[in-house]
Amino acid sequence: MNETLLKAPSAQPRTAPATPPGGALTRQRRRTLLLCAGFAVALVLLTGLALSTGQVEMPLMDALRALVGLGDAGDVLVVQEFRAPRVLSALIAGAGLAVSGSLLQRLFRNPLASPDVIGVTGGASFGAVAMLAAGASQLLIPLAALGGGILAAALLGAFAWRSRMAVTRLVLVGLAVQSGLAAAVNLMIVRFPAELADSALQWTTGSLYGRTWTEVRFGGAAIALAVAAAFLAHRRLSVLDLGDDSAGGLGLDPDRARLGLLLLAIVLASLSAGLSGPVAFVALAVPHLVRLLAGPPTPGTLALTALAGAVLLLGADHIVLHLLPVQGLPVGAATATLGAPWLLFLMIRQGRLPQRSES
Amino acid sequence: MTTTTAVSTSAANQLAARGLDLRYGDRTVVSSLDLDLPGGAVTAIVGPNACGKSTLLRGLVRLLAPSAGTVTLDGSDIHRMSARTLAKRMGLLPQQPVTPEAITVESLVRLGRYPHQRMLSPWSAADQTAVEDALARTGTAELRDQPVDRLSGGQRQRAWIALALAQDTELLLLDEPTTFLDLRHQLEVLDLVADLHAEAGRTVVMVLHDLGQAARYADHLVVLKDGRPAATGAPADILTAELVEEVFQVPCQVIPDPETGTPLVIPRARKRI
Amino acid sequence: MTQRSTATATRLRRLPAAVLTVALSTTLLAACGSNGPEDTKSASAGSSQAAGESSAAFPRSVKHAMGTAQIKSRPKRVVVLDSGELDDVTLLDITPVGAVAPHLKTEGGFPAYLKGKVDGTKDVGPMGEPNLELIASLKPDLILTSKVRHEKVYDKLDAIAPTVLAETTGQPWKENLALYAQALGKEAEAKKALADYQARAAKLGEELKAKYNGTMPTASVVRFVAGPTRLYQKASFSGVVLNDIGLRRPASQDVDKAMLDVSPEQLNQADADLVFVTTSDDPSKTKESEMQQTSVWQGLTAVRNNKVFTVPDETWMSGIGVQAADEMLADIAKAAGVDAPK
Repeated sequence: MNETLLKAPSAQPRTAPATPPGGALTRQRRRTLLLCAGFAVALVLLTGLALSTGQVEMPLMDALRALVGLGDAGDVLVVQEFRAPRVLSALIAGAGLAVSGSLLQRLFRNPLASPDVIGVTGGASFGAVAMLAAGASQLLIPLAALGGGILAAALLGAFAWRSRMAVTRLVLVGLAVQSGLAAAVNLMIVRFPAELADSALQWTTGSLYGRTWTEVRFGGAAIALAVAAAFLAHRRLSVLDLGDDSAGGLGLDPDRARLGLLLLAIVLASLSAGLSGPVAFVALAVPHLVRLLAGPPTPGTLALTALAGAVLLLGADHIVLHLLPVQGLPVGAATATLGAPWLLFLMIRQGRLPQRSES
Repeated sequence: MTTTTAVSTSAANQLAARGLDLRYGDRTVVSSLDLDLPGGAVTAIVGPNACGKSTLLRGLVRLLAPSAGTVTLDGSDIHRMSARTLAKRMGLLPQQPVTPEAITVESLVRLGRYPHQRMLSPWSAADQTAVEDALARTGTAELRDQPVDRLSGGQRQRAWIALALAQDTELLLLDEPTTFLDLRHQLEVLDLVADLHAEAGRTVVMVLHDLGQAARYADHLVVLKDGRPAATGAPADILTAELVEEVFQVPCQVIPDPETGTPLVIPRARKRI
Repeated sequence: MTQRSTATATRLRRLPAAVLTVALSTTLLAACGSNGPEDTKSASAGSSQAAGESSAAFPRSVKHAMGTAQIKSRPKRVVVLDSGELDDVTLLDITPVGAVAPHLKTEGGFPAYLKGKVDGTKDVGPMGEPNLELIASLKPDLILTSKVRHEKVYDKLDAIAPTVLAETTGQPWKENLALYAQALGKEAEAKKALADYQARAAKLGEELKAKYNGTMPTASVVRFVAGPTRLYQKASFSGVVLNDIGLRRPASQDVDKAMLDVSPEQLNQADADLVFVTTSDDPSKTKESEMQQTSVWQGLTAVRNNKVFTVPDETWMSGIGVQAADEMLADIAKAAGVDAPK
């Protein structure tokens, strides 16, 4: 698995490019900061757009006034109860998924690692659909999704722990857990009355419909904590990047560190899935995009990852809500449609890389 | 078996193994090993393939937990120390370190400061000094902005040694640091190690493949055979034709190195048919 | 946790409005109170779902599956979020301002049997995720749906307009009609429509019995969906209608449950004097033709006697109201070769 990122030891030395003052670290820091600012601006613009667009038309200023409870009561209802929770859910879940994907790709040293690969989204779907099947209150679905994600993680841990968290085994076990849970979900959907099957299907695609302030508040606080933990863990992540022996030599127990970070990534993905459903491709695509734009991972690029994830999911949700002729398409359908060509692009690009470095 | 005490030893930075068993799963690689490595010296561990020399090194830095016995550093069991405390005393260059994609030399070397940093502590002046010192000593300062994966093998190995130096430890353990390098770069790395010992007073323990290089660069030699020391001591005292034939199964003669006077192993020519 | 705190949060934010509403309705109730007989009606309206008399007493409070809705005046702009509710309000001569199309209907649009009764009605679907903003923009004064459908967004719907929810859909369709009629202030009309239907069903039963020489025939309901084929039992909308007629059911369906999934080998359990078949979704996605080619299906007495009838899914399955039930009566009469009851 990790061979993908290992370079042949016989790579030719390169002459240093003309170095502007400040050094590569400073330059990367400056670029990351600029990109963060860019994405932050995009985030603010998109949020404004999302708050002021919809069947109930209102200018941006009215939407902003309605957000703080001023102006027409109808506008206040639409902005405070319908638009704002949905926008915030998109931002929070997008950031959570992207950071989770970034953690997983580094932990596994594999560019294809994502919550889908290690069973977390399968678990979240399983939890939610099982809750629907049991006929329990629909309000418990986000919690059930979180529980399902943790369940998948527990299965993964139980089967992979004996191998001391070896990467290949984790991925294989994760794929097995994911397929098993996906099969269970399909079975339940088929056995459901058609009415429930419909909403189960909607849920497993990932949707931001009907989010409540309670969900936003709890999910937002938990995801913010988990993202903060990811920032604090960044040094450990960088040391793990050097391989287990080097990490051990630097005083980091690689197995324990990996387990902790893996748990963090799983909790993040499960929390996000609780808020948005298992939205596809955000966790996979955003870390790549960030690496493409900002270079090797630093705490700054992690912040950029969170911002880009938020922008991507909010943008995708805006597309399904307002730019498509079809009503009520779940946001996961849009991210999957956007993500598939992106994945192909990545593969083509990766296939081309060796030739480029030889030229 | 010849056992001679090594030359220049100092009281500090002594690694010792007592009754050490190291195994991978069911396979015992090292058993009941007693060994003392002198502080303040350059020790080379040599031996044929699969004799357990890398395993021994991993056991000495705690990458491998012993199934029996102890490893002590100046008398304290290294398995009772915190990982961080140990990492402040011993630095390691593994045999096959993983170079993260696109990481620059400076970023790599900065990671050597990990054991000195607390979770929320910012990058300090002491950290920067250690990094600059490591870059300067390894001659990688001008490469600091280069991606490590684009460097030549020798440059890359120097960058990795710089990381271990930035860790600022008195003991430095290197696992086959010259593998994959051409002769010039092998000598460059070994000269760097010799300088670190001579100028910075580091205690060095390294696994080497080449007997001649081991004899030339080490003060103390540990010759391993099947997980046991066949001989330990100063190269000139222990490196004999009999020992080489016994351990490596290679008939040879040992002559003084015309450059340094250290023992030089010349394998006997096979008779042409 | 989620449910309670959501409710609390929403309640808190709507506190001023709620206080105002309560104050207003208390004043109005007190004003009505002085009028004598009206008083008892408004008070009892909440608890008795089958309040027969068509009282014009608004405001009124209607107890439903998720609370009590305060309805200030006779609703004029109604939004319905499921097919049964659509049948119910159109039965009561109300053209809803917004409705969802049956969710398994592939050709899109509102049911054909309600043609002419939904002119100008806005599609606010899909049923799973109705467009809340679109609903709000229609400025409704009443929203009708069921808890099983829209429990998740009840708080948001109720913030738009008073929302009345039945517990579930399907089997309790008559109770649901009574509940919605109460919210609409059309109890008498609903009661009469239901009674008329009951009479027609009974009459059809007599004719069928006569046609079959004194023994009521058995009727079977089969639905082809994307998953396993389903036999509909007594605790479903179609089951209730067949029971109203007095038709007997084959053993597999003479059960107080909604449905039974069957494999191709178990299709013989579908046999009856009259077999009614519906297809949900796009027929190519269902196993319809595949199942109908099996030897088990070909061996059914009803198949050999040409007594299998294809009927619309939108009435037999998702209609769930008096008008759909009347369509079923007509389909059954035609199948058995008797006159449809008027």
